[in-house]
Amino acid sequence: MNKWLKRIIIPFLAPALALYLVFFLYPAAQSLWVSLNDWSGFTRDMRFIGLKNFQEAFKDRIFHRVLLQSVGLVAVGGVLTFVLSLFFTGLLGGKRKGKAFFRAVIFTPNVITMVALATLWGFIYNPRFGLLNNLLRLLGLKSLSDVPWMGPDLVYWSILAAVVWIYVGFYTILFMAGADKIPLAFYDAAKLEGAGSLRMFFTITFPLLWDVISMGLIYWIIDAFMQFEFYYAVSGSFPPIQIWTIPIYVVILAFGKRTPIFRMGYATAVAFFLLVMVALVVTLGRRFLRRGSVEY
Amino acid sequence: MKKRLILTALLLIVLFMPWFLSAQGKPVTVQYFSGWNEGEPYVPLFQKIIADFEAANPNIKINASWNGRENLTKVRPMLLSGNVPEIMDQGGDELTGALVNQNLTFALDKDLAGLAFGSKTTWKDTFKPGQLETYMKGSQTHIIPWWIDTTDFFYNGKLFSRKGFSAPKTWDDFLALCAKIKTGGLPPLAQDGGINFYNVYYFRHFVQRILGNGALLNAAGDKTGSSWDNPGFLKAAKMVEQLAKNGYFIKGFEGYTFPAGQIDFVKGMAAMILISTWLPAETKDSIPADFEYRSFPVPLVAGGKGKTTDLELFQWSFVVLKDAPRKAEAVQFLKFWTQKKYNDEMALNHDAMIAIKGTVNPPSNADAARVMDVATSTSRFNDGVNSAYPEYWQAVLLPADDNLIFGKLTAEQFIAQLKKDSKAFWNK
Amino acid sequence: MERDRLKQASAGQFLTRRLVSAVPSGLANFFLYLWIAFTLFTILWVILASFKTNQQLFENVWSLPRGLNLQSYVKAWKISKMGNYFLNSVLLITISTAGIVFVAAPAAYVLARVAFRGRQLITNVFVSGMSIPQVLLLVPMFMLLRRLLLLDKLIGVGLVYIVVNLPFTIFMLMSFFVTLPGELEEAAAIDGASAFRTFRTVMLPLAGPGISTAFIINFIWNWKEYFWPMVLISSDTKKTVSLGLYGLQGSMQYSADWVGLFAGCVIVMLPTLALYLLMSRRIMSGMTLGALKG
Repeated sequence: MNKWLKRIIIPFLAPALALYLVFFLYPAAQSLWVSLNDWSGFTRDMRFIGLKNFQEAFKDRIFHRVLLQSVGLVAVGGVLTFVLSLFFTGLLGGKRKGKAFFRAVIFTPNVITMVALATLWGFIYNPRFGLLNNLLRLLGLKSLSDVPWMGPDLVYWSILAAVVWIYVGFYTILFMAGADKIPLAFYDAAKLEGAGSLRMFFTITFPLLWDVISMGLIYWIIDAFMQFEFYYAVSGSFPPIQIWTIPIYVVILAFGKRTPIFRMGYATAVAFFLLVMVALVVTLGRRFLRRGSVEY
Repeated sequence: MKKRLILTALLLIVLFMPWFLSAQGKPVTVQYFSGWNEGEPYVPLFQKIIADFEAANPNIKINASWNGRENLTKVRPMLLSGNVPEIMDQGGDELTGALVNQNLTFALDKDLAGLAFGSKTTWKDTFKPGQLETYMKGSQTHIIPWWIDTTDFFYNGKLFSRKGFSAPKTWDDFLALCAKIKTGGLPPLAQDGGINFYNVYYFRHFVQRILGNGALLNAAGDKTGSSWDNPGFLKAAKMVEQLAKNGYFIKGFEGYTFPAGQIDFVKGMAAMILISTWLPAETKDSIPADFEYRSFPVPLVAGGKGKTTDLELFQWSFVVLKDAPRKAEAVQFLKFWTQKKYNDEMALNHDAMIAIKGTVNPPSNADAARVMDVATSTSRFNDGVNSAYPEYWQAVLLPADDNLIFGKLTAEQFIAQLKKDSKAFWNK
Repeated sequence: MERDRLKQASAGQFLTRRLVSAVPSGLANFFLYLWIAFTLFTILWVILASFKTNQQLFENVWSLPRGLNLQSYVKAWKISKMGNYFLNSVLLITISTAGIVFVAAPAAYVLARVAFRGRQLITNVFVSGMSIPQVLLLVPMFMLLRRLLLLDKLIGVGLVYIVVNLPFTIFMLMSFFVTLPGELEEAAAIDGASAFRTFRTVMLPLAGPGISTAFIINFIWNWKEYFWPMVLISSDTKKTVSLGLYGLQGSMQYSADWVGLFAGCVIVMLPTLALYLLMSRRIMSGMTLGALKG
């Protein structure tokens, strides 16, 4: 290996490694320490309480509820997002007029600030002036326009729908890039052997796309569990508990929203829970989904 | 040679004198962390007060941060980084819970014993009776109230006279009125279902009318949860349940995000709303032509301890933080703020009831002001529960109450849940 | 089977026909058009609504604005300080994004193209950072910056931006750097030029597209987010534009000034949308890059 390359290893790597160690890994490791303490973030009065925070999290009914809500987003939101994304992937594959335009439009929500999107959707669901209810009234469906979309029963699903709308764009583009790579020849060969369209989908398309889909699944799991910005901003003043995600719960525990609560130790413990859970799901997912990459 | 040296020295002194002198008169900065948002209608007046003060005191600069209602959560990082603001304002209840009870504020009794701005009386004497006392910490006063609010049922006077409705005095009258309004085709009550502490107004005030002041606070702090067994609480819950069951709240109110509910009210989509007297200040820009703000206090409950002249006070107040550098200038600013001309302007233009004696009556809150003049007792906002037990308030009482008012729990279930959750909360 | 491997053409056409024939074609297309229309409509609606007055908005939500009312923009820019926040964001995000690329590119280059002991380990350390929830770092980062006296300072936020985006940016640039021709380093070494000079004059121009993509992606991401400014900034004047919009949304409730809020939205949306219009393809591929690396 040439000398030039050897010389640059350290100076090129050093800044990134140094910053990463000091400002990322060290805080991450420190979070474990913080989670073992009771701390108001106020004065230096950190009180070591061992695993008590984790015990409390186990019994915390609000945490259970938030966890359930997050899992729901991952599962239901995931199914919806992936079905729709695959649908669009299929629809927009290959030569098609306006393909680039459609792709670009579908992806657009992903380049807009979550706050702006949250404002938009908050207005869409506004009971009196909102776009949804006004559309329903225009279509003569007045009774539907009386439904409280942001009320405690429905707000979870209303916001889930909005989140799906945002992410379908991302996953469609992702899958399309993968679909574009499947060699035409496979389909030729299959057709020669008399395979029908559906069979071709399930024996060629789906398996070869599987790599991308499974990677996408990992991405989605991480993304969905970490949802914060949209949910936090969507209802204006205070997110109702029905749309709390785990990160929201952590922030509320650490800082309060209007009423300062400041349980920083407990908040970090909950966040740590999240990390462990995500890591577990991702690891299991990777093992379960990678039935051997299909080489072609 | 010596002459030259002396001349040079003199020259240097002359050159540097202006700098030295100006450093003496350099402006000091007072930081004001406000709970107001910049866009609120009365903030221009406050900005004027600041400008007037700076003009009258050229060596003091007021640095205002309009942080909005999350003011208190914002101050923590400031405190941690050693950058302590001098003044903060918000509801006295919230200031108490977050700052005063955490020993972060400065006792102002000495300053209160001093003279008020441009006056011969002490600052303390300028306040209406009962105002300073509401949030005292033992014998110390940390909280300077200014804009006070009570909670009442608001209605459009013009609408009521058109339809021949009249303000009820008792609970039974109130129910009859609601029924009458409903059969007339109008929803009786508007409500911002998304604001949980507006929802709890009903239960809180019904409890006061039945059991008097302090009952709610007592029950909230009871670690066994057994105080909730008092039949008065069940009765109050049943009253809320009745309103929900009879469909007196506007349809879909659970999904209303603020300020949809109060806008609905002023636009005439509902007949009444239980809200605090800041309503005119917040909604004046949205009212139609034939609108007259009128209000009546929460009605009497037969056999109950509370009277309609028992006032719950919400006080938008100021505190001075203990570890801030410019406390003296801060107090000077607060005395300047609380002078008659600004009090009157606030009362006239924003219908605010001010805690200082001699302020003119707010035109659109005349009814509430009248009641305040004959108050028989005052209690803290939310009976002091959210200042004494902020986490309990958020985690136990408010969520259970939401379910009660949304009609998801019966009164009995509500009380049972309160008992259970209180016990679990206090015995974590 | 070898014949199959030789053909590398896109299977799009077949994919289309196979997948779509499972659903009535007309219905599928209708749904697509509906989706596109909805997305376009909502974004355009916000833009149009920002030019209305509140009266016009509440009278009829569907109507086009009567005349271009710029009041809401003036109010948002000056009074609600969105102008200040915009400036803050431009400075903060441009500089910190440059910082990210400046730090990540060399590291990615070395990890991608130089074999040395521990390379895989270091790579994994960086890449695994992508699955660490930012919210876990909330409290420790807060404590760390407090100790460094960087709380409530935009520099602190910039530092955090550099660090939290390192994993993805390194990952992304690595996948880019592996695609560059291998002979280049050898050619440079033969020439006898110094390491940095070679990097600057030879590799960097070739790496241009990858680096600029990394810059654009990070710019958009950091422009979008408001979590760290919300946590670390308390002074009103130091807010970034997304955080400012969040605050505007809160204060709007007390003034019912929806059009002002929409104007604020447009102010925030404009830069990223403009970038997107210019280079949508690059942005789409860059943002989804990670998952493609089998």
